[in-house]
Parts: sequence; C-alpha cells; structure tokens
Amino acid sequence: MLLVLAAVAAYPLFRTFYFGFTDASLDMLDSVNWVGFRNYLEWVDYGDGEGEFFGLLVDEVWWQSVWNTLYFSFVSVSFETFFGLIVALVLNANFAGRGIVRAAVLIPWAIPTTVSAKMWAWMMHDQFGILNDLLMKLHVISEPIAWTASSDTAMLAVLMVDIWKTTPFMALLILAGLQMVPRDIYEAAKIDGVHPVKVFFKVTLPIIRPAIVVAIIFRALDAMRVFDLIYVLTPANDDTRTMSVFAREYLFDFDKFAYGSAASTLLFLIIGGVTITIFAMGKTNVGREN
Amino acid sequence: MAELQLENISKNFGSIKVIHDVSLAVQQGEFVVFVGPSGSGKSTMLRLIAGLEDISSGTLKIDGQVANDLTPVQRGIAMVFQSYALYPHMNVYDNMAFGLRRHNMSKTEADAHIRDTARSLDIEQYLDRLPRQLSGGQRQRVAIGRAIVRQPKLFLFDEPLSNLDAALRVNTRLEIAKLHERMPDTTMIYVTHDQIEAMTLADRIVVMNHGNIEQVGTPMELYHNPVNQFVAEFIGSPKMNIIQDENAVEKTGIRPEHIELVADGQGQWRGKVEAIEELGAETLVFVRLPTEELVLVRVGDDQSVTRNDMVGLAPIEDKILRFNRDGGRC
Repeated sequence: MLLVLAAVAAYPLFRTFYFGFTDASLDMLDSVNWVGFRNYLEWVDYGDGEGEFFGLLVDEVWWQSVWNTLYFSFVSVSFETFFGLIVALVLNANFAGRGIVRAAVLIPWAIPTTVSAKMWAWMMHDQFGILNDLLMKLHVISEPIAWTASSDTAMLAVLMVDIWKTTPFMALLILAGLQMVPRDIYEAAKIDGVHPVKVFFKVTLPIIRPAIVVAIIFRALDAMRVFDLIYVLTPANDDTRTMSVFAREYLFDFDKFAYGSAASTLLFLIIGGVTITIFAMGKTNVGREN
Repeated sequence: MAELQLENISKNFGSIKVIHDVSLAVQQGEFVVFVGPSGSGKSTMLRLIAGLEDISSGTLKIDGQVANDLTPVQRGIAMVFQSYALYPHMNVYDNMAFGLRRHNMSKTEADAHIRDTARSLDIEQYLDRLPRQLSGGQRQRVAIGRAIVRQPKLFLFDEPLSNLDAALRVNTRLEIAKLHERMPDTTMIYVTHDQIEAMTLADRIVVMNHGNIEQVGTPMELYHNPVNQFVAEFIGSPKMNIIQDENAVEKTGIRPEHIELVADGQGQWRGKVEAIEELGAETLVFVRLPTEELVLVRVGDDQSVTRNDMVGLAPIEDKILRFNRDGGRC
C-alpha cells in the first residue's frame, strides 16, 4: 500500500518539488541543473550598485492568480452553500415526483466541466449569445456585454457557471445531512408548538452543521484547484487566472518548466495550509458543540 | 383537565384505511391504555389525538369542542415519544425550556418551574448535560420532564418503555403510575404492545386490532370477561389456552392458572407432560394432548411432575370461556 502511494503520489510530487529548484525546460528534462531558490527569488545585481528581485515570490501575475483563486473559492463556495442549503431543504420535503427532481437537479454537476464551460461560453457570447439577447430584450442592458472577455465581468461569468454547476453537489451533501435528522424531533417541535422558522434555525441548522462544514471543506479544496472551467471559458485572462492555470501556462505554454514547477509547489503549500486551517477551525467548532 | 371524545374516527393513508370508524369517550383524569399487536392502529390513534396526523373523517372533541383542526398546542397536549425525541444538540435544561418560551410565563417563573420539575424527576443534576451523555432511563425522565413542564391537559405516551431494559421498565412503570397520582386532573393516554403495562397502568384498556376497537374495559373486565378470542388471548400472560372441541365447531378457552393437574384418567383432558419450566414461585407445565394441541398449565411450586408423565387436566368450571368458529363468545 505504502509502495503504491509512494509510486503514484510521493514520486511525482517530489519530482515537481525538485524541478522547481532547477533550470528544467520541456525539451531537456533529463539534463537539468540545480539552481537553488532562483525560481522563487533571486537578486540580480546590475553591476552599477542597483539591482532587482526576480522570481515567483515577486511576480505580480502570480500573486494576482493567488488572489483570484482565493476570491473565486470564497465567493463560489459561499453562494453554493447558500443555494445548496435551499435546494436541499426543498428536496427533503415530501412532494410528488421528488425522486425525479432529485435526479434532475444533479444534471449540471454530471455534465463534464469542459462541455458545460463551452456551452456557457456560447450562451455568453457577445454577439450571438442568448444571455445578451435576453437581457437586451428585457432592457436590462443597452448594448451587448463581452461577458467572458471584459475584465469587469470575466470573474462574474466564471463564478456564475461554477455556482450553476456545483450547487447540486453541495445540495446533495447537505441533503444527506438533513436525512440524518430524526423525524420525531420535528414532531416533538410541533407538539412543543415551535414556529417552523425557529425550528430551522434552532434545531435543523445546528444538527446538520457538521455535514455543512464537511461539504464546505470538500468544495473549498476543490475550488482552489479550479482549472478546466477557467481555462476553457476565459483563457489567458489576468482577471480570472488561478494558480492552477498559472502553473499550467508556465509548465507547457511558455516552456518555463522549472518556473511552473515552482508555482505548482507553492500551490501545493497554499492549499495544504488552507486545508489545515479549515480543519483546525472545524475541529474547534465541533469541539465547542460537544 | 380534559375530556376526550372520538366520534366515528377514520384514517386513510392513500387508499389504505388504517382506522375504521372508531368511537370512544375518555373521562377527565382517566388513564387509558391503547394496546394491540403491531399494525393494530394504536399508534396512529395516538397521533390523530396529538394532531400529528390529520383525521380523514369523524370528529375529535376535547372538552366538548371540535378539535380536528387545532394544533397540538391548542389541544393542550404533551407527548412522550418512544425514541424520546430529545433535541440532541441542546442540554437537558434547554430541552425542557424550548417549548416553554411561548407560554405566558416570565423567564424567572419558567426557570423555577423547570427546576422544580427536574427535582421531582430526580434529573436536576443533569440539567447541563446533553442527551447523549445520559443513560436510557435518564433520557426517558427528561422526555417526561419536557412534557410535564408544559402542564398539559392531555398527556400522551407512545410506547415510552420499549427502549428500556427489563428492570428499568418495571421501575419506570411504577413512576408513571405515581405521576398519574400526582396529576389527578390530567388525562393520560398511553400506547403499548405490552399487555402487562396495560394491565398495571390503566384505568381502562382499549384493545385494538386491524384498526378497530375490539373491547374497552377495566383490566379485570378484560381478563375475566373478554368479548372474543382475540382479547382473551391478548390479555393475560402466559396467554390463554384455546382447545378445539371434538365437533371442530366450538373452542374452549381456559387460562393456564385455571387448570389443575390431576391423576391420569381424571379431569376433562389427558395428555403427556412435554416440558417443565420451573420459575421459582410457580411452575409452567406444557402438556401435549392426543390431538397434538399443547396446553399450558400454571401450578404452584409444591406440585411435582416429571417429564413424559401422563396427567389429567381439570379446568375450573366457571372460568371456562366458549368461543365459536369466528372467535366470538358463545
């Protein structure tokens, strides 16, 4: 087991770490030279007493990508949690055709991301897209918007598609939590004459909170690795470039394999750090509950 | 403080009718036990009275007023659930206080009331604990406490003892009986499948089967004078012997404690002792008749029998019940 883990996880991981400390490029991965921290930070002396820092740690595009990633993750997961909770509550209620609706809700999530990203790219197309057409007819906007290209709306476009796509997943996880709540507790609350809204905030929500926390952790980790949606919907756009997209661009598009490896290493460390933080927060919360 | 009237109550779940035209009147302060096998409709009856299920047809009156469309609170009901249904994330105090806020009671009044109730149920020291930190018996008390603080007119119990072990069940049964003494004006309705709980707690027992009431009466009425074979067999433990007559039309019912073991050749029936269970105070003797029917006889500890003995069985004449082929009395 450990051997398999070492082969499929540890080896590629440490090889990436290693390349981050070399001058590797795609056509010469076999003969690389150790360059230390040069990819991360390097002082280049111009010889006239002046000099400049170079490297990933002072790369504005990189930090923009980090910010984009965190912003994207926070906003998308917040909305997905909110909408997911609402959808889960609806799906948890008894109504005719519930089984079919439960299955249908999952469709956005079941479509491969590249497909739905392309689909949305068409819907958001500045000239032929249905979204502009609708909004124009409703007189919400006066001229077409280049949703995916304009720097004002690119992030909004990405967020909309991600929320559309991933809310069902969130709803499903929360629904599983809702179904763990024993039915008779609601009956006890009915006998106690507690208002349904109060029952939701004082009974349902506290009981399903652990399930929501787990769902948020899953989604947040997933969102921070976001790649395909952004790569397809808004390629090479400073306003939506995330850490994964940044790494991919340097690794393969710009033939700066070492620099991309360094970015991948930092990406790993950042996600690891956020994960540990979230888990620590989750634990203290659960601890307080106990 | 409530009088309860059920008039031709029916309940359908979709096309399935689970309660058939049930009528019953319950006096104020009465302790009525609904008893029956699972699927008899006894729990559904309780849920209809509580207001957790809608009544399909018929009238439910509380203190003479139609209550079909009233909420549980308007009906003045408190209920103890089989699973206790405590709020798992609230401590004992909050569990008891949660439904109380709405009552016209100041915070200090409510607090004093909760502490009094907790003291009377011996759960005062657990007020800060969560339900999962309590034993089954303690949770049971909390559930009862939560119901009492609301000062209900009508106190409903849904199989409250079935999750407790045997010893605790006996104790809690006694406590529920005491509780009824302490609250003489509160009408109590109690659902169980256990006829011993029914016999020991009830002022009157309602025996239910297949969504119908088979018989209503005091425990002793049901024991001595059941209206049919179903009630006869359901009430009493061990259950009544039913022996087919030779003509195969009528049946004789006789309780194990109403048969004497006599010498072979005497008595009404003869048979072979197949098994003996010595319980200390009493002994249960299983006798196989030539017709392959098994008759249970309950004898004192002074009688000695041996397995495979041939014995005579002498029923006490005036305790014999006669049933026809459909199970009715004749």
